[in-house]
Amino acid sequence: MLTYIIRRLLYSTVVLVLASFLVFTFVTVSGDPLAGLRIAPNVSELTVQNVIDRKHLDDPIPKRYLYWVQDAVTNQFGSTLLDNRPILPELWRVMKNTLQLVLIAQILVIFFAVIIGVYSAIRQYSGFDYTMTTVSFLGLATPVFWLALMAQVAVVQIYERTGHRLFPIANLNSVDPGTGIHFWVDRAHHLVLPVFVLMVAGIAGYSRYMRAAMLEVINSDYVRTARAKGLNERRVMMKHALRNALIPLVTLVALDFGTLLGGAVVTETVFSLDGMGLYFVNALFTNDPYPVMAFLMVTAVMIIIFNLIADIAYGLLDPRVRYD
Amino acid sequence: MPDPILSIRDLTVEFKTEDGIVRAVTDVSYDLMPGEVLGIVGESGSGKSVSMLSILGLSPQGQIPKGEAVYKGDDLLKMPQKQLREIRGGDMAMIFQDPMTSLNPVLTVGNQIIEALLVHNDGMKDDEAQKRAIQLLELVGVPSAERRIDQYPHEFSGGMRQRGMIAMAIANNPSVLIADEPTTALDVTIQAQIVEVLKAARQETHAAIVLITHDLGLIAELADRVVVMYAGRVVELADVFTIFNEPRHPYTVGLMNSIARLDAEQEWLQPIPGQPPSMIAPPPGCAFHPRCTFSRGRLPCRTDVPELRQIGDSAPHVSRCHYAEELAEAQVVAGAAALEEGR
Amino acid sequence: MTERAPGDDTRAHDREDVAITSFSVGQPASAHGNPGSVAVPEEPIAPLTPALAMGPSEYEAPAADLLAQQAGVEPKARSQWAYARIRFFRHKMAVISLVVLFLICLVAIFAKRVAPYGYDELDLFNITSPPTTTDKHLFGTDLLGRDYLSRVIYGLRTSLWVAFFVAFLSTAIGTTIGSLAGYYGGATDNMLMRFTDLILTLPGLAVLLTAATFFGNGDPLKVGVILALLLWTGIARIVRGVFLSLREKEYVEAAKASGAGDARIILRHMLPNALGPIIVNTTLIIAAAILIEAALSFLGFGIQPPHPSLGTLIDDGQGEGFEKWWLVTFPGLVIVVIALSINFIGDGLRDALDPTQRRVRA
Repeated sequence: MLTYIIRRLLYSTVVLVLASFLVFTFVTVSGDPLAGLRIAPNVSELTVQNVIDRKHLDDPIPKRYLYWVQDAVTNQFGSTLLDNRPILPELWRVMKNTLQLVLIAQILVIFFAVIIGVYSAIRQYSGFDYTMTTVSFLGLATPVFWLALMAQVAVVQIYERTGHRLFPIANLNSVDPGTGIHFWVDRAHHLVLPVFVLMVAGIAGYSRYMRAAMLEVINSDYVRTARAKGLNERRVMMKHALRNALIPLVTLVALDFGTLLGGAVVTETVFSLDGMGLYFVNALFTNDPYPVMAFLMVTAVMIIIFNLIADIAYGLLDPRVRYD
Repeated sequence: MPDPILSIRDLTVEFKTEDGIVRAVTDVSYDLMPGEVLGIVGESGSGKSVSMLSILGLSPQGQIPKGEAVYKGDDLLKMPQKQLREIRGGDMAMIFQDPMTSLNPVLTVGNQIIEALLVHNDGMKDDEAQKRAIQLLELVGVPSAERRIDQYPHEFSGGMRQRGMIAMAIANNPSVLIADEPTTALDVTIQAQIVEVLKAARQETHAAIVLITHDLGLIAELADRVVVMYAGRVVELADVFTIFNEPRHPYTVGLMNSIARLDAEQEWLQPIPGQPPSMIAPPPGCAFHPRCTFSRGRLPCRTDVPELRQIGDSAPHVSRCHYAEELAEAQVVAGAAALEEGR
Repeated sequence: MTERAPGDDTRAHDREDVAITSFSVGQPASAHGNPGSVAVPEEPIAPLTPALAMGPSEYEAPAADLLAQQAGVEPKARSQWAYARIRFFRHKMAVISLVVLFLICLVAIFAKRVAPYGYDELDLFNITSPPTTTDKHLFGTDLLGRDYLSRVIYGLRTSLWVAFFVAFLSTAIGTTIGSLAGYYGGATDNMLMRFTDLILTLPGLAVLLTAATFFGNGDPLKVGVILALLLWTGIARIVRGVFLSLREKEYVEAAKASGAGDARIILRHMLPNALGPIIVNTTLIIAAAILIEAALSFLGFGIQPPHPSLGTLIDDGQGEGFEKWWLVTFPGLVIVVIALSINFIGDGLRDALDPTQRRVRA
């Protein structure tokens, strides 16, 4: 197993380097970041040239790539295009915020999805099952950004009619949140709606998956054998059925963790949350390639790492899978 | 005559499907004597497995509108679940067809055998169960049992897995052992070994064995009596010699004709023409009549379901055919003719 | 009866398979090789009567239609697609969704006739009014007095068009790559799958946004192409899987032996097998495409004015504040309805085309 991990890590590093080059080339050739600057009326030639020199924008691509890598590794992930702000501190700040949001949401999603999925499978075709299936379909058909907006609309409409402010509809904290516990309570209050929005699609997807996995297991021969041995239903479900059904889910969850960081882009935008998604979108708007590339690289790393974790987890959980 | 250990009467099992109600088993009755091997023969879809599964409550979609299955005085079909569970895996144990899919892939074989032991033996301690599990594996012929106990099913070969299943089934000294197609999923060479294991199991536990199979060779080797099923009904029931040598139902005759035999002169192997009937819309009258070369389209065959009748007066031998006696005569005639011709 | 793959026919002109609903015939004991040692009784046994043997002699074989009738087979053989159709129509929700989707498509196609007003028609006397039945402003109006119902209708037309285009294009790409990888296997497969994995490693929305920003956006066609270039991987995987499992089958070898070229084998023999899963996945891609395009347009990176789009409508609506709830609600509701219908249809299709139906076995 150890050799497998090492091999995978080496392989992943190569992939990462390749990906970084691809990302760089892709972002660089696809537009002139200075286009906006060039046509701006008050900007002198000298200013523009300064930027070009600083970022080596005149050099051929491979050389620029190396400059970028050097910058990234040694100098806080490089700096923004125009005002030369170091990227790392900002990136770190927004990453922490996003992590709070997505981790809370994901944990809640898994919790509810497993319960709903398992129960739907055990009571297949029951009223609960049908209701949950319809709700899941609804959840999967609802665009996240729209759901976020509707949440805001609902809160505002309720406020207008009843004067009651249910939840904050924007930002991570209020203007003056206080310190210590007050700060975090305020933060939690602000995160309720975003977490809810993220949960809907997540539960919809995972519970269907869990249900399908559980159904397949429930109808398997070895569950029948377990019953034939005289075990009571509860033990059959818990020890034999669930354990097998969870394996694919664990792998799925691990894989999804890789995409979590980049997965809240829309939610953060609608709720104006100071997270990685919003950071990324703003950089796109201002045509600043460096934060864009930093974001893409971070998410790529996360995906690669969690792919590996998913494979390892699968190997640990399912004895039929052995890596050598 | 000792009392039967399991007595099934008028068992009927139905399934609701998208296309209608399927009657997998109709009015099935037979007895199982202690210590005997009762073979149940039939094609897929004949109801042979479903009847056994339903009795033990292992066929959750099956509805049992009527029938009884009396085991040691109690009707299994009317028993509270808790009591049925104690019998399942304890007094009555089952061996399934495909050991690869019938064993939980993420638990060790030992774990699964020990589980069977602990569930039915309240006072047993873990190390006792461990020892007993190793003993059982040795009994069924698994080499290096101590090592194998901690291995997973996929690390066993097909034959060894089936041995493991048998070990699991005999763990609690059952009085009835139900083997559902125990050799079908295995290589031919392994089949012979499993037969030996079953014999050993029988010797160890003195259990009665219900052997469900479509393999007539297995029946010939192991069975004392044979139940022949077709389209959910019992069509013939007799001891094994009679079934092979004096079959009194056209279906059984067809079966015997379709296998290669060393003990009979055969010109051709004759497969039975046609397909097994749809269980949603079975043909009227005798279910076999469309494929019956003996019926020749006679009216009673097409309209009345034959009764299960005793044929002849020597040994217990029942057949569900309107013209069973005619069949007997035809065979006697042909037998005499062959005797004249050949020898 | 053992399964037969579609296309597994010897009659070149007959595409359709005869699928008989019957249970599998149990294998005669002889199929398992040696019947074991048969107990040999003492007396010589009469051969089981030539009289009962089949043959043209004195006894007629059972009538063919009797055989058919008892097998529960209708005299008319049905094709595989007919059975799929029957199974599909058993799904209430799928059928309802099909009708709904059809109606929506009609509305989209005949937008000019159905929409009460033009997309840009101003009605400055009725700025941002809530939904009302007067003047047919069923969805209200926006800040310039444009009828929202009409705007939604036009927006939905573009969104639907893009979604279908994306589905079509990504299916084409995915099928090609998947079939090549699955058919040729080996190095080709390896390379193509690495490529697919690379695409999958990229965080979807982020890459889309980046691509849209830097490659130009606004035009539905361009947006469609970009989306398609990222959504083909699912289909590729599935087609490849089907092909890999079919490569080993005898009829492929037989076709090769009789001199059929690669293209012919792929197209005639193997692709029809993958048709079922492909269709199911294509419907799913349509739903995904609608949702993603709406998100992109909402953020400003997708379709932009002057092209109408549901996403941009929502974006504009957001700018007007949450008191004017109808500006945000209706376009989104339409998206939900479309996506929901497609999901149900996809579910129905999956059940209809899935060959592994669970049957009751005795």
